[in-house]
Amino acid sequence: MNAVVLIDTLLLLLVTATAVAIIEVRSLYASSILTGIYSLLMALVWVNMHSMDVSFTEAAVGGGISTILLIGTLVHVGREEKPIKKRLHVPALIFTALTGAALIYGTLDMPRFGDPAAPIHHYRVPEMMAQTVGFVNGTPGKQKPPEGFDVERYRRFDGRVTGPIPDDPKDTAWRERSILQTEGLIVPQVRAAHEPHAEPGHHLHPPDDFNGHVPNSVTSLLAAYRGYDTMFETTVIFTAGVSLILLLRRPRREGYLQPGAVMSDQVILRVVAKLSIPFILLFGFYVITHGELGPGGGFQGGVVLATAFILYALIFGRAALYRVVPPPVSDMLTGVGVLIYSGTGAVCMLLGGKFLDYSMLNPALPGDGESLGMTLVEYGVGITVSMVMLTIFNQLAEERST
Amino acid sequence: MLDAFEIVPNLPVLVVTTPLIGGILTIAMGRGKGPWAWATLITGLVFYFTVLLMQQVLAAKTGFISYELGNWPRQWGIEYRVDALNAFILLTVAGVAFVTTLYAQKSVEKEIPQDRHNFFYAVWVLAVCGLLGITVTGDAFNVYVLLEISSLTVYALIAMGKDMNRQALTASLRYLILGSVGASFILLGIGYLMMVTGTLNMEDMHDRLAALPDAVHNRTVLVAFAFLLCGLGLKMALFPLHMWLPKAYTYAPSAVSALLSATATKVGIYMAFRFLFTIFGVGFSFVAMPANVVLSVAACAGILVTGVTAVRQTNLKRMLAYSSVGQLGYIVAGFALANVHGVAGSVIHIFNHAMMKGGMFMAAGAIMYRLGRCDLRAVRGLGKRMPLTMAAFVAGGLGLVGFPLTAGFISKWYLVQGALEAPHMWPVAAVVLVGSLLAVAYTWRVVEAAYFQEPEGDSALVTEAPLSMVAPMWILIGASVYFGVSATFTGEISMRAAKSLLGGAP
Repeated sequence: MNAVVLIDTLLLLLVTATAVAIIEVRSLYASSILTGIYSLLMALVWVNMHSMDVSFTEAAVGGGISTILLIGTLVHVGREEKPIKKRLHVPALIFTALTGAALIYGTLDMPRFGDPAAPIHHYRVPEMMAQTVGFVNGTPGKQKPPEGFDVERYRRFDGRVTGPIPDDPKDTAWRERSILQTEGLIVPQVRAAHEPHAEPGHHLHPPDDFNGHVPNSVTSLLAAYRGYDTMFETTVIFTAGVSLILLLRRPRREGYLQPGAVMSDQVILRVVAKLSIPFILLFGFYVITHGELGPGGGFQGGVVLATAFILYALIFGRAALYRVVPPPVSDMLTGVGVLIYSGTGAVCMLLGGKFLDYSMLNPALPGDGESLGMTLVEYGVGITVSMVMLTIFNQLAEERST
Repeated sequence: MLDAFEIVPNLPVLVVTTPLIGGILTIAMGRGKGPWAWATLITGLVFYFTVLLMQQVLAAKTGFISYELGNWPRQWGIEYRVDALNAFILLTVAGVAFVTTLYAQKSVEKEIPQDRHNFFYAVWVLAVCGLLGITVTGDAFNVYVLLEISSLTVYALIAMGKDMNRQALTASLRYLILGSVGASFILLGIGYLMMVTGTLNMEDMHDRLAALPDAVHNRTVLVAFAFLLCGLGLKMALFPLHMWLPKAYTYAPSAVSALLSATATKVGIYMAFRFLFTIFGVGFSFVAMPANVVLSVAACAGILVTGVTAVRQTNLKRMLAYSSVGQLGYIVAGFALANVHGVAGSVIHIFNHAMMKGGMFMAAGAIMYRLGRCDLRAVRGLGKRMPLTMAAFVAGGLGLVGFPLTAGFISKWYLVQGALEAPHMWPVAAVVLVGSLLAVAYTWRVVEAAYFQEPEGDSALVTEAPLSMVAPMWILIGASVYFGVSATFTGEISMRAAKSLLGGAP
């Protein structure tokens, strides 16, 4: 048993224990806190799987902001669960047990955890990890490179894409190479024989797709290859915010502001908050901008930004927050984020490319265009996420004070 | 900058991004009629795009149009793929969305607080965006993402029912819980498939599954199949997983009921088409796995049980909701036959039912608009007071029965033909006929109340609903009659869709 398995077993035992505790505990306050702990434990599990971006999101969203929002909800529904006479619902138990059994049954034929021969590790995905999807195998495209296309600059990437995947998945030498590759010791390989693409238009992408600007392959996957999905994930967040306003906001004539308690006598809290808020904001912007290089991006950064505003509201009162971000402004900004994202896509389309083909933003250096587009959409995501979180918080606080 | 841009090659993505961007901008359209006018403009534009898209698909030599988002090769990025089937569904959804938006103005004015019309129409347009996005895509995960959008928006729209009373809220909450369970099952199914195939593109996934040695005994694939079937069953309200639907449709705002009944569950069925036929393939779903037996038993039971339940209802909207579950049963029973006529009947009934039921919910909404309720008692004597509305309701009801010269007749013709062609499937044909008798029963109850009973109370004083409600109602009902008389277009498209789903020539 190696260290990874040992740590995983320990963490998953704790996760299970926390899950049971969440169900068992009668105080809703305690179970809200426990969900935060659950998320933090899961974040550690993701770290153990080397998926830092997922871990970061889990910590920021699950451990951070959703706990705040859950506790905000408790103010309305009360801290204690209503006593239920019959605690065991037999059909529900049977159904849940069957679902769980099916889930486990389904794992029996899954590729083993971390198996380098699993389909996911050698079909389609290596090209994404190597960021060579657009310019397959470095072969020059049928289209002439555009004016100012720096061929020399891309030549250094040609060495990356060598060595076919063996037909026999049990080829041990190849497996070893693959393990080295997962450890980051050698660069991933790309299948030599590619099926031809439907259209030759892809070849505008440079050999490494992003001119080496985006070392974090998670970001390239989320914001470029599957950027269209991410646009709609952002829209999901936006929709949640708008639906909440639609359902819960009071008519405007009653006014936004029902001032809650302000912690004016808590000197230490006020000083600490004043000191830390600028750094939280800075960190939020850093996470958004830095998403191309390391773990992070619009979602995580947006949540971090939102916590700065929420902290401000908690310590200095919502009247102060509304002077900084009046509700009409935050309402508007929730939409502006998605509009930045979809607008970037639309601009690419209006320039003659496909929707979200960022390389159109800089035809001379398509990889730089990709990088620029990704930064833009990450900011779009960040704005929407932070403002929706703020809107939800405001809405909960609003209800509380009336 | 615009000289390099052309509309036609970008149609598949314009169908979805127009309502996305338009939906967000709806919020900025002020208080008065602005949001409604803007939503009408956007849905009208989208409808126009789907018409153009339909023309393109019919003209395409390959039988389909492919659009690679972000210009990434489809196997790695996300592909939009439009063939005869989804072009037809897109046209139906966008058309109904446009007509219901026209209809919505008056009823929304009455049912939704004035100060949040802009948010209401924003969510409305985003719901249309989600439904169209599910229909246009050729990527399994993209389906799930858009499913989230359509579900979230629909929960919110339902909860807005009747000044947000408790019943609308609980109906919405119930749908939220069951819908989330369904969506989780779908997500798990997609995840398991991704693990086995290493890809998310539908066509690619199909090829990989077909190449998988012994896929029929691969336990991961089997569980994925079972989960997808459960999740899709919940989403398309297949009996007995339909428990969320009646209350949701009954308590939702009138315009929302009309929109949902004609589009939301239909898109669920479209997803089932894609997962069962395109990804798993007919051989896996219907030959190796007993999906045809499971689905046709559930569908037939649904037709009979909900038919009987519908007869016993006194609330018009609830009666229509139960009838919807039964009609969805016809659609499911059709494609479970897995032969050309069965699948074609299923596709054509998606369109026909959208027209009829959309129109009937609009009629119920018009009664609601005038009287504030729509139970059988309120309907008494309305045949004289609101002749156009009641005539529309009856014409739609005749369509549900499958009366000749209505669209419902065409659907049932295909279905019965398909059932008789398939081996040992004649009971389906029998159930279709019994279901029609049940439809006669519940339609008759309304006819009796409206034309053979005297009005009482405020029913005696009402006048016909405003033109802005009656006209859209008759557009849909008129379409259902027109396509009942002349079914060449719908018939050809659905035969073509059926053949391509079953793996023949497109």
